[in-house]
Amino acid sequence: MIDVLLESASVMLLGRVLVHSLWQGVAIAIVLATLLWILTGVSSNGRYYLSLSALLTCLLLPMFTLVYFSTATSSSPRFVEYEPIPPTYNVQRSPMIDQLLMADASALAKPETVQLQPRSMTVRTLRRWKFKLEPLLPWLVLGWFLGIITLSLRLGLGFRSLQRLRSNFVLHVPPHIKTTVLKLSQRLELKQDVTIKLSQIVDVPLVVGFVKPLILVPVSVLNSLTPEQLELILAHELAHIKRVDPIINLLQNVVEIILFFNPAIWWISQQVRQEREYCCDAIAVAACQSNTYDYAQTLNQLNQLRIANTLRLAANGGSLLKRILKLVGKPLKPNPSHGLAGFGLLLLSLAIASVAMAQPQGGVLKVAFESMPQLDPYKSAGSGEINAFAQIFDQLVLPAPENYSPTPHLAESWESPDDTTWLFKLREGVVFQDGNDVFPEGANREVVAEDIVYSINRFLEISTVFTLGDIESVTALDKYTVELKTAQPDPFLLADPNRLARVHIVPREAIEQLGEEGFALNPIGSGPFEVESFIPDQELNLVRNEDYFVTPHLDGVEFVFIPDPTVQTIAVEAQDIDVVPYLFNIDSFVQLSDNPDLTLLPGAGSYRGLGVNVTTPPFDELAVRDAISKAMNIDAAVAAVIEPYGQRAYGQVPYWFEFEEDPELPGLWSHDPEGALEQLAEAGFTDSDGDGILDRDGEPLSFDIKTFAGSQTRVLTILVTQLKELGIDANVLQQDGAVWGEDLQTGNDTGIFFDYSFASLTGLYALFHGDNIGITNTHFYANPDVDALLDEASATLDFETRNDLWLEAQRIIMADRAAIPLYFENGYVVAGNYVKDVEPGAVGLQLVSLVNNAYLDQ
Amino acid sequence: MFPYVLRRLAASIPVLLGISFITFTLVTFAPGDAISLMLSRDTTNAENVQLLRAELGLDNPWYVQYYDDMRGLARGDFGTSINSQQPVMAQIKQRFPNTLLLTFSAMLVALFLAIPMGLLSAARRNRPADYGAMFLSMLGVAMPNFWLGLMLILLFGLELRWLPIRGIGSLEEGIWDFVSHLILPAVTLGTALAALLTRLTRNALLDVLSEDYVRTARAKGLRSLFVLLKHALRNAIIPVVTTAGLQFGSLLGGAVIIETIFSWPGLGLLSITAIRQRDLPVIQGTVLVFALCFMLVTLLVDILYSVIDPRIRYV
Repeated sequence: MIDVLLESASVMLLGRVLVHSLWQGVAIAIVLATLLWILTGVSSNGRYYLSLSALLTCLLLPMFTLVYFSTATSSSPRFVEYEPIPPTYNVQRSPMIDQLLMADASALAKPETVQLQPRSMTVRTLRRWKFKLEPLLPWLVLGWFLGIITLSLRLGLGFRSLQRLRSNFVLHVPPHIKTTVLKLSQRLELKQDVTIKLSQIVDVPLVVGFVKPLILVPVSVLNSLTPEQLELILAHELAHIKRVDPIINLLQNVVEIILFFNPAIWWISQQVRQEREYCCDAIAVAACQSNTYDYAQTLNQLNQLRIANTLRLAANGGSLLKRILKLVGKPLKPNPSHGLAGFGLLLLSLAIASVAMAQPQGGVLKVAFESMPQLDPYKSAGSGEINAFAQIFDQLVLPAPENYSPTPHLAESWESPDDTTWLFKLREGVVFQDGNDVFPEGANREVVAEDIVYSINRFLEISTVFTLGDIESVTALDKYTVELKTAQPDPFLLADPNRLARVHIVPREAIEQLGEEGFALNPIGSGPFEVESFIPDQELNLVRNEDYFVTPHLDGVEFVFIPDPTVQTIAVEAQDIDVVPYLFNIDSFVQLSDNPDLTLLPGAGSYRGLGVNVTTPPFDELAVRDAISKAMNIDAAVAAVIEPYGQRAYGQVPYWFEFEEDPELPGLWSHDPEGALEQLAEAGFTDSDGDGILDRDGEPLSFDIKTFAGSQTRVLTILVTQLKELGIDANVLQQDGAVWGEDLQTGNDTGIFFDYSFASLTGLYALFHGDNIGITNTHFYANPDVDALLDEASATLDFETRNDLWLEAQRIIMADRAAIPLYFENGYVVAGNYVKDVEPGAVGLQLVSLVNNAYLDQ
Repeated sequence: MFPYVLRRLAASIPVLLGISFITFTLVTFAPGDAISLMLSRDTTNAENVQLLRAELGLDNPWYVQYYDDMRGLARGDFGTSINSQQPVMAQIKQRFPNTLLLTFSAMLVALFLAIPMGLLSAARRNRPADYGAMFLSMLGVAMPNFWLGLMLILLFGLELRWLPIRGIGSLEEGIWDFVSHLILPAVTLGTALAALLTRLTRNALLDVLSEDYVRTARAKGLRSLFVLLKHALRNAIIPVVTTAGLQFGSLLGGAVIIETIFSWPGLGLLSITAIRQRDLPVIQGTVLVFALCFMLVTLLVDILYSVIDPRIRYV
């Protein structure tokens, strides 16, 4: 039972709050000490309220911390509503990213040198300490509870003793003392009735009780002090009652009990007491029209009778010596040993604060995957493999999480001396992973320019999925400088996440020694994690690369084989796994976004629309294509099925890349069923045989829209229902993904197909350029004007010009109705709330980089 | 019996050849191949795709591809996976024991559930226990196993969190780790068979219980439990064993689905992944192993007949 309690999240939360309260208290104490020193000449009253405020802050700050942490850990992961630009992330953005973004925005138009440094060793050391501290938190909370119970008992017993003082061994005071009290009460304008008694037990005068205050005066005082001195002492006690000090003192005791473990609290509390006594001293001297020396003399005599008891609020509060010296105008000089102790306390608190605020380290992150047949980064691009490549290998540049513009990674900086030349300066000291068949433990080799040359050449030779464009040459100028020459100016080489950012750097000797097949099973890179074990389509275990230039917080990453997407979502809800890197099913969005224990991180999505093979009759006629687009209420279908997990598309260029949104595009599309029917009638399509279906020359206007399973099937079903109502016999035909893909490549005999792409930066070129017909241009669309615009844009380094050309090409394509855009569907990474600092990444799940370092906050 | 077994084994060769031909043609002539799956809609290196297609021999005529496959098969070589570039035989060797473990466990679950329930049902004919057993049996047959699997995952994996929902356990991690990973997939796979066998056991027992020798045994004053277990069950079990054996094939088929749901690293999951990726060598290899298994189990069941019922003889 106690184990369960100790391991509960609330206990851990409380433990963290207590640790944080340590440094917070010390910080407040330092501020208070500084202010008191500066305000030496200010009245005691002002100093008193300042000290009291400090004490109150000490109590409030942990409460705020508690609220902050509990909000941070339990806040809903909710989906972030769509915001056009930029996509919103649930992870905190490092200031470094801003630095990078500013640099990278200009990198395309005018490449500049950009340089970043990894996080310092100090930060890493602190995080290690925090990691070690975490297991102790439950015991710290237990100790805190025991301390509170003990001190509360002590306080309770103290009250009981005080109550006894009210009745035990008390005597009535002589009438002249009662008269003095009455006279002083009037002088102090005290409205409360005050009783005074003589006590045979107490040694100094004191006030007991809150509602009906009682002043107890030691019998000995009557004999030891003169009537004037007694009047001063009684005035002091009455001043306490007037200022409601007994109640404030009680609250002060409560704060001391709650934060008993913090020496700074005791010091601040002591300051409050000291200043309180100074205030009452001043009031007493004024009320008795006495002088400070007489009062000092009185206090000196009382000192002989003093019994310290913090619960008895009386003239014994604070240091009598200090009070006497203050009264005579010779304040006590600070004790150097106290300063030294304070400095030590400051250092200790700073250390605690640093550790408390550092992120935890350790743990193995479990990431789901559907398929992972091999790990050679140039030979496949399934989502499972891509996420693994991102951990094992490094690239020259990494796409920024916000807008996918290139940021420094292995390349510390780059420049472009002319339109076709790129010079990359490599980060020094980055090494390939060791402890394997190629690089024995401790014998790892530095990544140098020759490795980049080898990798790019190998990529050009064997990569099937990605292409680098027209590369003229790649040369190592020196150990850390690589020169890459393109045949023509190529702005997309760096800007497109699917170009240079896809070239993972591999060591030549690993491929030569292990062979192509061996390397696919035992890959070696320079990334943050190295392969511990790999069984194709079964398991992949990665461990931290201790030599990485940013030491990963995680001990490792376990890729967990879960081929069924539904089971993946159940597994992440059951915390059997920590991350589902890509959520496919839109129904899962709804289910998972309602789960407060999960976070949905939005990443790049996909373009979904209707593609048209413009060579297939009757869709080779613009009027027919246009009529089909007008016949459908796409807005309604998208709103019903997709929103808010995607947004209506009016073109193919996605909003998350560099190109601007074209305000003219929405105007190209309209829902006009009557207009559509008129256009079709003009094209010769009428219901000549009365069967409810439009026909021309005896041929019905009938077609299947081939698709694979996904959210689009529901959108398409709505759209074909709308078409059927107008007499267009459209049907949805769901196929296997491979069958669908092959069908598109071979010309798609039905003319209209479900069009889908990951909408890369150069997607418009791939999908609609005449050179790509039958490969990626399955619209079989060839428009010389469009080709010319896309060609010119692809060789234009100036962003504004390129943007204008690109958008103009898109407008022509859409006006030609080569495609009917439907929507952009957002892509999401699903992670437990305790998984922190993960970036979805454009080229695979980004766990460790210069701008983020994932960790488990459990 | 030995010549009979040899004949049966020899007859299996043309059957396997036929299966391999059907598999090959189905995969080859169906739209889409492994390479087309590698293509992306907007990022593809067309030149390298053609080179890879040629390298893998996928641009050869179908009969040349089939001849090459058969030549390899004759040498006991299933070829190399297109996707993982690993030998198919090695993958099958690694996965097959896991599938056997799952199917035998499911069979055990089915028998352990079916025989007591069938006995109870027959012994308490037309009484609440019988109705209860028959209702459960009907439910077991009616539930699709993939649905049952997901429901069990939701209940025991997500809600109660008693059992792991994926993967295979390891004996190195302890016996409970091993067993706990096995429970949900084995129960899911075995439930339908348990339902079928329960009804079968009940009906067979009811037939036997009406026989004269049972009446004689009772007339002798033997206890009814003894009669049920010793005299009736032994004779009633023959059709149950036959059906259980024949259903082993359906368990192998069911394993394809169950292994996918529970991420069980078996042959079924290998085959379904290969089908998704159009990885012909792996599809060929796994289908042939499944077919061989089915034939061997059928043969084994036939042999078992003669063991259970000595009156049956094969020549």
